[in-house]
Amino acid sequence: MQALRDLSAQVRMTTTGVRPEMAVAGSTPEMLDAGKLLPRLNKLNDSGRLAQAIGEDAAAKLIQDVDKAARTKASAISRVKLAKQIAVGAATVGGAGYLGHKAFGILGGGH
Amino acid sequence: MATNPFEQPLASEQAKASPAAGNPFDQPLPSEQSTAPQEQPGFLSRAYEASPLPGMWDAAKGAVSDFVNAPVQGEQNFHAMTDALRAGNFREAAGHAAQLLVGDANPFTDAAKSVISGLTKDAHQAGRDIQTRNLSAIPVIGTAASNDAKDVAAGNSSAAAGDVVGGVTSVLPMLLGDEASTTRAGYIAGKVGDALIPEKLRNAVSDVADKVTGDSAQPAVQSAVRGAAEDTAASEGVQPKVATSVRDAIQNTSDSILGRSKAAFQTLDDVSGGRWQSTTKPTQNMNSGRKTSRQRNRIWSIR
Repeated sequence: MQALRDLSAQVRMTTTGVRPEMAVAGSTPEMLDAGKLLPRLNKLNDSGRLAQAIGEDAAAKLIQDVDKAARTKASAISRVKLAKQIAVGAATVGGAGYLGHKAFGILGGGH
Repeated sequence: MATNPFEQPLASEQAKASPAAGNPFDQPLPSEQSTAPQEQPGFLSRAYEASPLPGMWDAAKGAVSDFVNAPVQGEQNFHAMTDALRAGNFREAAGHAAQLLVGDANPFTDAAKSVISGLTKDAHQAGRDIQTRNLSAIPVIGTAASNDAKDVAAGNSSAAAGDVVGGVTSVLPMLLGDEASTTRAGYIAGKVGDALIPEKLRNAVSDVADKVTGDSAQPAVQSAVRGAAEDTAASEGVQPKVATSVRDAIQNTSDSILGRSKAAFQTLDDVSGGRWQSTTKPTQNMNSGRKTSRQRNRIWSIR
């Protein structure tokens, strides 16, 4: 039972947002961070605590399911990184400002 | 008309001639061929569609048709500019366009103006929208964000990434300047380009990422945790209180098992003449890691 409490503690520590029963319109939705939960589950599993809490088969299934969710999130994050890299690259285009000055001067300052 | 160089295909067109020549961005870039991972179909075409490139390219081609009989001056720069446009390299295209405008007199200035105008079109409004975080007002960003979520839901992550790239390129023109003021052009390039855009862009894409996480990953991970709790409760033969919050899913199962155990503890306590209860507290402390040598000795002495 203490093993279940350990598992519960890890779930609670990786959950953010407002509890559904306390939420109002516009509240931050309750989110369980699969990316943070996964290593914690692995740690519990390594010590045998996870299997002790919910059984070996359920432990394996839980880790597999959380891993699947974590990978979905990782793909979203990779797009954020991609966009950040592009944005940083875009910032270097600031050097084209000088050319912009001349170009706009020739264009008469407008379209 | 063999004397008209503009009716001849560009060197790059000859080299890249293919059935998909209508959309040059369907061709993989050299850098993608060598280093980038294989993308699903749709990445480049989506990036191309989401970016301002199609309109710019049409404008550049229109400008070319106006100069079919003009003497050939600055041709190399012009071809470099159009090649850069087709490759999606705004910086290089703008550079060549500016060289055509500030260099020696040549018949390509209007074409160059079309390119620069295309790059800077709506840049001022885009800058205001970004500053007020009204990103949905920027057509390409709004479309990109919307399509992105749909594509991810449909598993087409490649096209979704293409939308993000296309959306980002739509912000690039404002880095080249403000249409109304050369001073503001430098300000936007220097200040907005360095600081504001990456942050706002990151937030915009983060919103998409959060939406993706919320829409598709959350049900999966939450049902996994709830499922584990329900399975454990079923195997233990208890019926825990329904957890509205995922935070309570495991805890409620644990509490149910504890509640069931209390009856057994009471029986043990009765049988042992009240001695069992005295072991409960030290045992709980051991479980939670708070144990003293005195408590351990007490437990061992009872055993």
